[in-house]
Amino acid sequence: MFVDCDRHVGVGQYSDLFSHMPLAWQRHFERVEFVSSIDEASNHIRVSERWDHPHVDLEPPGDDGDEYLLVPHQGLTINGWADRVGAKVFAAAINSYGLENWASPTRKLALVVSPHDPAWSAAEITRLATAGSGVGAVAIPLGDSMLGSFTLNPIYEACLGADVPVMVHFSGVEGRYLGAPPLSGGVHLSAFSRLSLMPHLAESNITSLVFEGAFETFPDLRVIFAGFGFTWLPSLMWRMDREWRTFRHDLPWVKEPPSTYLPGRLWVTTSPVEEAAISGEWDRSFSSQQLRSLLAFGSHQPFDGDSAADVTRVLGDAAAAVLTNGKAAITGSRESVSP
Amino acid sequence: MSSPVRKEKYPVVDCDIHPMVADVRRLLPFMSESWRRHFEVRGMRVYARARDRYNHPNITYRADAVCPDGGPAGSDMEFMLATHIEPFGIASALLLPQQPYGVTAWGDPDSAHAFYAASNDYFFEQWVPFDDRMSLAVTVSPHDPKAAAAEIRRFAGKPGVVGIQLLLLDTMLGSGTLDPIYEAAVENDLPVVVHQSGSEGCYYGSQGVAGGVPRSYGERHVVLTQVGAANVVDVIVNGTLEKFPGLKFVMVEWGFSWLSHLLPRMDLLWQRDPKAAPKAKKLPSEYVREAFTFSTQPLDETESPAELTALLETPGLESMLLFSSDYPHYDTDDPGFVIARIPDSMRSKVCYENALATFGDKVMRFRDPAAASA
Repeated sequence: MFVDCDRHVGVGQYSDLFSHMPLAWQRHFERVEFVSSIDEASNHIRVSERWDHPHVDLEPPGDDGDEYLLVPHQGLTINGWADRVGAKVFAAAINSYGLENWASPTRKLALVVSPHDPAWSAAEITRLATAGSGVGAVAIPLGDSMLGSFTLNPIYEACLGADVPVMVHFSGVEGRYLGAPPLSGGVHLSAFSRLSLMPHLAESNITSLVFEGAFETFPDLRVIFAGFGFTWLPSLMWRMDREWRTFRHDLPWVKEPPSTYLPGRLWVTTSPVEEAAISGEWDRSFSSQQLRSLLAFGSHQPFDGDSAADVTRVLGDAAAAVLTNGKAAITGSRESVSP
Repeated sequence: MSSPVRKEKYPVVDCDIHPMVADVRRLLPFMSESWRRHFEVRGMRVYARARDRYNHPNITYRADAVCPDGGPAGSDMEFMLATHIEPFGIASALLLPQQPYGVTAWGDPDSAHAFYAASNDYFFEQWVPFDDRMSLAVTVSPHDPKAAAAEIRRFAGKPGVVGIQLLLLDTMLGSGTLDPIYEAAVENDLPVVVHQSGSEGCYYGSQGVAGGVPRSYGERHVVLTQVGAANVVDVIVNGTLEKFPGLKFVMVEWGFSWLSHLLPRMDLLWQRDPKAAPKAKKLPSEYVREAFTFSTQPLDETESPAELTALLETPGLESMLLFSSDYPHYDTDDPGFVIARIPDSMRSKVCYENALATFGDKVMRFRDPAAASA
């Protein structure tokens, strides 16, 4: 039994969403170029310059006894849209479609909200994330503001009200589309470079959450970073703590060493787990329970993902706990799940 | 330095020391008359960071490094020698002049070139002859790569000139526009030293961190290392090291703890799809280990000895790490403190052997009289 916090789902064609939109918006989206752009959305999640991807089945897994947090990645790409009004209609349609077609008691949907309209997002969360609704998290596509910004507070308040975590996954347009968040350095024309550097988005946003005091304002907030790998965690925690020690007088709202805010509030998913094995990083740097408690299984399936067996092979004795840590991330429950 | 000091068992090459011109107008005699008039009228901005955007919460230099006459920290070579170089047994101090960092915020390539060229002349004439422990990296900027290449050739082969301090604008290090600089570097066996200037994350013409705009100085400083990592990736992906075999990069003050996750990530991605980075002909980590070195400062403050061991056991790190103090900045790493934390097995490499392999014998002009007489 495992809890997979990064299982992707999607529609086969965008026209499947039309019945979940007001008629006027159906007419708006019924255009050849938009409907065919679904191929680009699938490419983004792989961050690839291949344009001939083999077909990937984006249907959710069956009820097989395992638990899943479903990530509708097509919705995440709204962080690259120029039309931020249309983006909300699109996200709402995916949410509606997903709850109707994908969600189940063991397959919880990550609702997609808009980072550009926190008030609307909060209303969407309150409307949809009700008890038994099948909502497992709130996916915030990365937008103009980093996650520690107070402008996102309405979203966090709504998440706490609904008792669901925030989840963050890159859409793939970061560093590529104007308006989406930049990657580190300058402009990276190579998809290989962008994918190599994608973990920096997680680093920056975790730092933002801590250094802007979001975990002080919302001590019960839970956040899942999925798809970014995890081997960068020790380095980030050392740097955050060092800078806090140097500048804590400048950040009076950050009352504790940054790394102490993370356990019980932050989870980082495991894929691609092979990164931890390739030069012995797992054995070298992940012996502490504190670090291991921050990890949750995320397969990233069906895109170049990991299986539970891959995680077990690399993480060894720690795998059993990591495979089920997602339960606490999604529900807030401290009760472990029987492996 | 007020703390007790000790000389190390090995000679120490300090790869990050920032000398200053006490009064920037002292650069004017090193300029043509027309440029002199230009700067006399317009002034010279010598700081890169937008200080109305990310103002430092304290001061940017060590209070005990302020010169006895009240001059800026780092501006008195005798004081630096007496308080930092001598006490710690530093055999070679890589001088990375700081005031030229200001040109990263300038828009005019010609002004930028005139300024950093004057700075190069000043430090070569005033500091390098003062003591054999002074090793200069001449500064160039990507504003005009051909002019930068000419500047490198102007100083190549001169005693005490050991490297090139290449400033960063928005162009990353793998860009072909920098080829003239790299040609001159390889031709003259001079490593390219890249140090953060302060402009990162401040301007549309500078490089930044991932995700957006950090709110505070400290938050930005946590993630500033990302810019160094991004440029390492850019060099590999764009085939710069295939184009210029023998080219060496010295990454200063970008940290190094991120190598343990960046290198496996690049290797894994390349193994899965080598055609995604077609200009890389072998594992990305192999290029990095062959061509890059990284300075120790700021040494990450691990929580336990086990974490420190893990940090320093990153495969290949023993040959990639150079000692640096960042004197006289506020976050100077005390040489005694840092070197004591380097395992015995790699201490001589970090202290000087890796610097020798990177810069060559020219980085070690100084011969300790005491050692010679012994």
